[in-house]
Amino acid sequence: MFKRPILIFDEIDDDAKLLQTAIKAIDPLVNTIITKSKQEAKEFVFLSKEKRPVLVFVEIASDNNTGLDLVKAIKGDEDTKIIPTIVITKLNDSKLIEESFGNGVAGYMLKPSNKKDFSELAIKIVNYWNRSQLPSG
Amino acid sequence: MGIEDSELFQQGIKKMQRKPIMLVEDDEVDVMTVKRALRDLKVENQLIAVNNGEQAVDYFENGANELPCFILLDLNMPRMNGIELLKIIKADDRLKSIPVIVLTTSNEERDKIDSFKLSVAGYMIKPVEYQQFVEVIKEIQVYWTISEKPD
Repeated sequence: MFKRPILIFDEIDDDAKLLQTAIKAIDPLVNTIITKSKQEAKEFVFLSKEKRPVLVFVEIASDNNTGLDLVKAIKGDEDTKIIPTIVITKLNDSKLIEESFGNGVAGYMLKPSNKKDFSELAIKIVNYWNRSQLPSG
Repeated sequence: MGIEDSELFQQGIKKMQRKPIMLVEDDEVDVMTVKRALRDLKVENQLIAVNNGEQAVDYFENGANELPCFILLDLNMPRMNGIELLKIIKADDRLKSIPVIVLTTSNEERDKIDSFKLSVAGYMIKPVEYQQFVEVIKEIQVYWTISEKPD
């Protein structure tokens, strides 16, 4: 079970709720934070070790590259790069895939177009991270 | 119909099968167990099994060798352990975007911190029981079929 909140950053879409539902189905007690603001996302990420998110999901389709900037901010900081950060996006672009993995993301998922497939995909993703060990600090 | 039957997932499998999976593992029984699990799951990718970090580096240094779609990495190995190998991979522009998943018996917090600081894409504890081992390999395979990977 997840010991700290899970953060979802998505500036443009409203489908983050489907991911949240999948998280709740697997771990009803975890606090899921959805935000459209990069500033707010960064504030959560840079909280103290005990409070910061245990996982971060980022939609990189955003104005002015804010999604990828958020990935770089997390992965470029000695303290926060420990947080597994997963891209979940509608952008299927090999350059973005390469750049995201080069920056240390732990997955690059394409959003399916229909709700049912999205929900199923979300369950698989959350199951994987529920199985994985995560650093406690 | 489950997601495994969807066209997108099947395309993902076809795309992924073109590349080998690398296993860095010194324990021969564990190598056999991973091979058996992949076979039972009908995963058709070629498996490159190397015994330690040094052998993995040797493999990568030969430019003719195909880079793996992902790496399953044990941590406790003689002759360059998993963390040392991870540091080399993540410092190399040609290798750093390959997803690395730790597969270990170590439940040490230090190992988890060191691994995630080097941006591993998962940290799985090896189950002792075979069926559970298969479940773990299945979850890894499904996740990395769903996920896009660098070319």
